[in-house]
Amino acid sequence: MSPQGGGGLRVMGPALQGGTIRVEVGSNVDSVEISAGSSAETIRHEVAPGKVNELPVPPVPGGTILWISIGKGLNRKVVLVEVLAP
Amino acid sequence: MHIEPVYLVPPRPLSAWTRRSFLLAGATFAGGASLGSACGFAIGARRDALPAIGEPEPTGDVELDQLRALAARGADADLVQHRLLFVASTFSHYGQDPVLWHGIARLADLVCVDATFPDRSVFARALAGVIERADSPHAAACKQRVDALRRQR
Repeated sequence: MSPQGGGGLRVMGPALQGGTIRVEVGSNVDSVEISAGSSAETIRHEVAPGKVNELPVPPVPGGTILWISIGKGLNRKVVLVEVLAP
Repeated sequence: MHIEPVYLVPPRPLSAWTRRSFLLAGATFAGGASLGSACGFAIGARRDALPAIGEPEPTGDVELDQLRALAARGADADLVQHRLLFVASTFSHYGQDPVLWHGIARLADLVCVDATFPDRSVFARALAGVIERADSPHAAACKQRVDALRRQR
């Protein structure tokens, strides 16, 4: 397993309720998963590799922590982001 | 001409007050620490202690086997280091595995007792959210820990 916080995934700025979240991904990353903490509440987004992508914040209450991840299996990279009420 | 100070109330010697203050402060600290420890123990004791689990059986799934090994016999430091991957893999792919929920409960206990836990507040709330959303019967021991997780700052 690789350590937490590896390259290839960076969240820029806050995640406002009802807004979008800016996610920068590495050049070999073509999808990002955003989850509220269950498989039923996980959404997969296609993204542009090597760029900053604007992805919709899921409809969750303010204060919810989102699990944003790239990759698969034991090579997955994960970042936590809190959803802020506007 | 030399002017002598006139005290309406003669000054008291400082040394006695300083020593008394020091003793008082020390006694207050000791009392507070004892009371805090007792309360902390009482709060912690309300959660069921985690039962020891044996060596997990191989499943044929390499990823799951590694996660199960980490949950069952991995060092606390390793579990904390891989906490995000571990929790995300559990809720997204292996939500019905009892060994992984044992690891989640271990993480819940660690984040509650370790003030130096990385990103403590955010992780504790994220873990609480995962546990609350879990529909696995194996998450029962973790659900007892949600209130404590929500209190972490």
